[in-house]
Amino acid sequence: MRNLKIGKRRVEIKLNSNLYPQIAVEKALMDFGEVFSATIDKVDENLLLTLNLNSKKVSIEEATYNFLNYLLAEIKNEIGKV
Amino acid sequence: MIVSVNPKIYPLEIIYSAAYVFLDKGYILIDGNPEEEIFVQIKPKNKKENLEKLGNEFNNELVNYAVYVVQASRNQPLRKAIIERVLLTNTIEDEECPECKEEESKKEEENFIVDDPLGIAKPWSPPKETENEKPKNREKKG
Repeated sequence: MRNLKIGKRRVEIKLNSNLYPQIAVEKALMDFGEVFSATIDKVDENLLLTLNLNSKKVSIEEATYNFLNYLLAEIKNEIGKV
Repeated sequence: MIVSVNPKIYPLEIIYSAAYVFLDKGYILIDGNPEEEIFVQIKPKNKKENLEKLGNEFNNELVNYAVYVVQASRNQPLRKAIIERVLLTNTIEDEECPECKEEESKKEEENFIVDDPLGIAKPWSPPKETENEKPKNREKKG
């Protein structure tokens, strides 16, 4: 995936802020505070997330995809009327 | 698996809803331009999952939610009218029509009166004595 770079303990994610609102991303990061330490940067319309894995219980790949799914569910519940 | 979606046909909320259904089956990442083209990346959790089938199911979910949105917008005035009617009916009875309550209580009392052609339904306690019927021996002798 172009917008996902997964290292051993660190992952970089590029998200379109029109698709993933910043406020929802921040809230999801707060909820994943025990799993990741995060920094957010904004370049043009993109949010650049750098996540450092804190927990040793889960793999970085699994934690990242779980985070993305959680984020999507949050956005759907907030924005989606359907 | 990457599914390309035209946001002019399927608005963003429909894409979110369709993707939401797939959260159990796979990992979802949405990308692209919301005004031109949106890419939905689906990575199946189960590696044996058929990718083409997964993509087709996603397309079906898009249609499913699109139809739902259209029907919901068509029915919205009707749903609104029904709910307004329900709420208004309650407020009229409670606040604006005290006479209706009196009529209802009268009707309830009437319903308690039972037909009694044989005269069975009599009170068990003896009838009260009127002043004229009082026994004379109780009168004081002067």
